Amino acid sequence: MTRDVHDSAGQANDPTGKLIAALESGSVACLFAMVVLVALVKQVGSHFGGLPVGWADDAISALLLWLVMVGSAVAAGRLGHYRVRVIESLFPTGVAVVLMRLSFLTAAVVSLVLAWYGLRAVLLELEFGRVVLDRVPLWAIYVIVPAAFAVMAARFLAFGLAPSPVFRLREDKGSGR
Amino acid sequence: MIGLVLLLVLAIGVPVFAVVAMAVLTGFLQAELEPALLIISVLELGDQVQLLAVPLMSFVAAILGRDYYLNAWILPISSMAGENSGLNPSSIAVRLLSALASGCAVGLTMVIPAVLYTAISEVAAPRHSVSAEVLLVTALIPVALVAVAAACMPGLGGRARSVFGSVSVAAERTGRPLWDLGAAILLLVAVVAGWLALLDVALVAAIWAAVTRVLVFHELSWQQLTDKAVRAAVTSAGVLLVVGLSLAWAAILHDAGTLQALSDGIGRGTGQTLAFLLVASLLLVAGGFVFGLQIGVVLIAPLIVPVGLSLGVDALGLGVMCLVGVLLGRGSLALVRAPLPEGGGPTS
Repeated sequence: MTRDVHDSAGQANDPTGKLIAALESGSVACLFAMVVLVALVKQVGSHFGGLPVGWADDAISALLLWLVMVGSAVAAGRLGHYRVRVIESLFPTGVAVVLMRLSFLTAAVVSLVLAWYGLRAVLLELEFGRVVLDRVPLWAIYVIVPAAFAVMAARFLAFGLAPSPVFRLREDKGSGR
Repeated sequence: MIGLVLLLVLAIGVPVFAVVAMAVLTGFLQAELEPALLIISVLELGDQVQLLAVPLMSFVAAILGRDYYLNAWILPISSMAGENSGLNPSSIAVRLLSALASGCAVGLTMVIPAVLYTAISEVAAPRHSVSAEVLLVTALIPVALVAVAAACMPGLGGRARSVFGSVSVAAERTGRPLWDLGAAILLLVAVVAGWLALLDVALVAAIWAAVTRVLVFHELSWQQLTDKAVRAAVTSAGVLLVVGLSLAWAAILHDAGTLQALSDGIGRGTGQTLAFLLVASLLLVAGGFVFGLQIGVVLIAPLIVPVGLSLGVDALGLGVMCLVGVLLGRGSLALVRAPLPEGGGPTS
């Protein structure tokens, strides 16, 4: 028997939660579809020739970065980031919850630090004023990095400070990673 | 001391990306580098277009089922091989089919680790990078041998049947796995022949899986397909975020010469090389056991690649060792977790 911890935040029942979840899923699905489509056009164009696909590399780079960062922010809300659950499974429920809170608060602090450095990188890029895809400023693409890390920090903070009912410890046969 | 603290932080359940970020930030501060440089490696993540193969292959796995390729082919055919013991022509044919199927199945499973290893090694050892296609093709035979050996191991039948839980489901879908096997063989032949890069293979596999499951077999609705795409993208995003941060980690280890100094201290004799290979193998198996194929490669490769190269180990050989090592670790985890078969089997 292994014990797993499940969050109720990932299965929101209130209208606002459902709306946010739908927006998140829609954004990720759109980004995924766009990056697949652009990659397909690029690969077909480069294999068979004749298609002007010089723009595709920049587009894929931007879309991939956005997909990673938006996906990471969504994963933070669903507790989907890779974690090792060795110690928390060895302790009684109370201690395990304390350890979980500690781990989420640590992740929140790290995410906040990354958001800060990301913001500095964006401001630096704003000074450089570089553009890609003809007229898209690079900082507008990079801005997703501090934004996503800030969302992750907020979500980990919420998990770390949430009232105890948010954590539902359950006996679950063979579950967990 | 810092390493121990980071291990403890990892053990209490702090997400892997946060632990890697802490390690990198500590390294930057110790090397008196600007910590904001850490973000550069995340920003440059998009420039490695080949990494797009990660969400694409995750999408394939989400559609076909977790570890589908790894699961669906090895055991049914290996059990057929068991029923056809002896050296008659049909038995030999079945065994050859088993090896071929296992090779194709496991080969496609290793696309993601191969791409991730290439991305990491390009930063950790820029002058010795190998292409993901060459790595995958080279690793195909040892990886397939490991898989076949595990599937055919006496006494593992019942236990393995539980391990590869989707086998019976796959076997019941008469005819359909044959389509997938055909596609897998074609894709791998295309890679071996140099007709397709791994990103092309991932694109074709994703489109193949989506089209066959939605339009041909009607197993999935468009809504279910979208859900699986979202799940694959979110899971991959977690992996790629760790990759982005690990690239900075690999750059620190490379630039600071930390591992070079370590390897200089070890020396360059045959005994030292063998000791390194042993330790590296254990690390890789442990990494695959604890973190799985993807994160295992991402975390361990930056450590062992520079040291191995400085000891004279071939870059391609290191890549193959990485892939086989994490696969063994992942397989060990599956065996440990499997419930015992009724009426026998080793005790746990």
